Amino acid sequence: MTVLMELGMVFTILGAALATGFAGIGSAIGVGIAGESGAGVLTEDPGKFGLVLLLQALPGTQGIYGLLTAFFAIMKVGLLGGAPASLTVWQGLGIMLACVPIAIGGYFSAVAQGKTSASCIQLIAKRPGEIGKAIILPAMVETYAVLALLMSIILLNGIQI
Amino acid sequence: MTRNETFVYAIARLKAMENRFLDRSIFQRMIESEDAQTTLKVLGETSYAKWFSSSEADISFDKVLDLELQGFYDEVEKFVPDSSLILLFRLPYDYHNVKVVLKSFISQRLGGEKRWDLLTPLGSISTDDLILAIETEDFGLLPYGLNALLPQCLSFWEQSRDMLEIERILDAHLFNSLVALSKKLPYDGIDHYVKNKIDAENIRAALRLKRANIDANKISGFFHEGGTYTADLLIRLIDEPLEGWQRILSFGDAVSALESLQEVHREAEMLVQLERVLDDFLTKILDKCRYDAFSPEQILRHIHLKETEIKNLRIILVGKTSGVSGNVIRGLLRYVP
Repeated sequence: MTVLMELGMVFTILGAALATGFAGIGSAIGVGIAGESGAGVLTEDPGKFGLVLLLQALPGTQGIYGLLTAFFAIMKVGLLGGAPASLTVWQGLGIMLACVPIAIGGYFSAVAQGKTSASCIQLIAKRPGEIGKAIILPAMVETYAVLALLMSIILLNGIQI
Repeated sequence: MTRNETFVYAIARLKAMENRFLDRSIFQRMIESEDAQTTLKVLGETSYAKWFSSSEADISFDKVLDLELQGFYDEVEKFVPDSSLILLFRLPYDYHNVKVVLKSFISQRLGGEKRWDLLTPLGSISTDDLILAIETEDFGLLPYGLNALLPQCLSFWEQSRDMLEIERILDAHLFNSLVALSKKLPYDGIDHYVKNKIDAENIRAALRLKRANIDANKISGFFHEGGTYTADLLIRLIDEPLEGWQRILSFGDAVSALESLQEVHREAEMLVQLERVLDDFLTKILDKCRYDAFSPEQILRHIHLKETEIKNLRIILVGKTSGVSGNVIRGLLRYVP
């Protein structure tokens, strides 16, 4: 019985790790792609640093969403407070599955957003006046990361402990 | 990281460098200027200014354009991850240099003089290495198969004394090298570009041969392999009136270039206009990738646009020096971004 209860906690920790890890990896790739593009533009025109930084930072949000979801998960089971709740396997599995939307959605949306940001950095290299449009395009990708985060939080809230 | 993402930095930097391209208003001012000196003055107000501040007081426009192109290639070579892409544009300069050195070497043997002034530094092989290799007849270190080709060219010269045939052999080797290089590169767009470049060159050669009235039996060697059109098909063009070319070439992309030629009626104008429309055709081929942010073809596009800019400037400056009217010059200009 104790082993099964511990397995519930293991699933929870695994879910938190997946949310942070996958969304974080996605963000790192996305920010990296946008950063490479930004470095290319800045080599020619260092004056565009502010605009480039703004666009490079956009794919970084998925990593934050993953971390946020992981915090929710571990707070829910009392891991942060020092008094962990006793979980059934199903509760633990439920929490892990609740973390999956942001893990997967975060990873893929961050990579896609990184590519869009890199393209938009190329856009402002030629037309700095179009920065508004250049931000909106990668921000559209953000929508799906936000939806994934929302679903993860709703699911986490739905699990009774 | 996927293959194309290795070009992110280079493409973004080239996009930023596109701001340095001369725009239509600059070209307009140059065309409308009174003489060559005023035209050069206009050029001196652009990103080309750095070449005018050199110690030479009366620097020629040829020198300015060569310095700009050489500076461009040196810069691009530093950050483009795959130098084979740049080699596609530098190889023709190498073969030009090979021809110059070979002709000078032969001319010297016959009591003539060397013409090192015709060498260009834009090739990938150092001109000094090339001269040394030919003068010492030690070709071992020359790349692209030139180590085997040059002894053949020299022995062919000894037998036939036919420089035109040697030039033809070198041209064929150049295009074979371009095809081999494009096949090695894992990007479909580059293969497509080289194929169309060969088509353009073959069509250009067909018109020249037609105008020169060369016997159809002797011309097949002047057409290069690797394009859309076979040599047999291109030979048919020689006996065909120009109006019929479109029909014969209709299955290839290059036919789009010929469509705009229908308005040109004078044959003398035809070759000049054909050169222009074929250059613009290659620009259009590369323009297809302009909105693909990660495509390595963007690198080809940028180099092609730079080469086109230099070509346009040369047309204007030569035209102004020779007193050609603005309208004629305007009609000869290639695509301006």
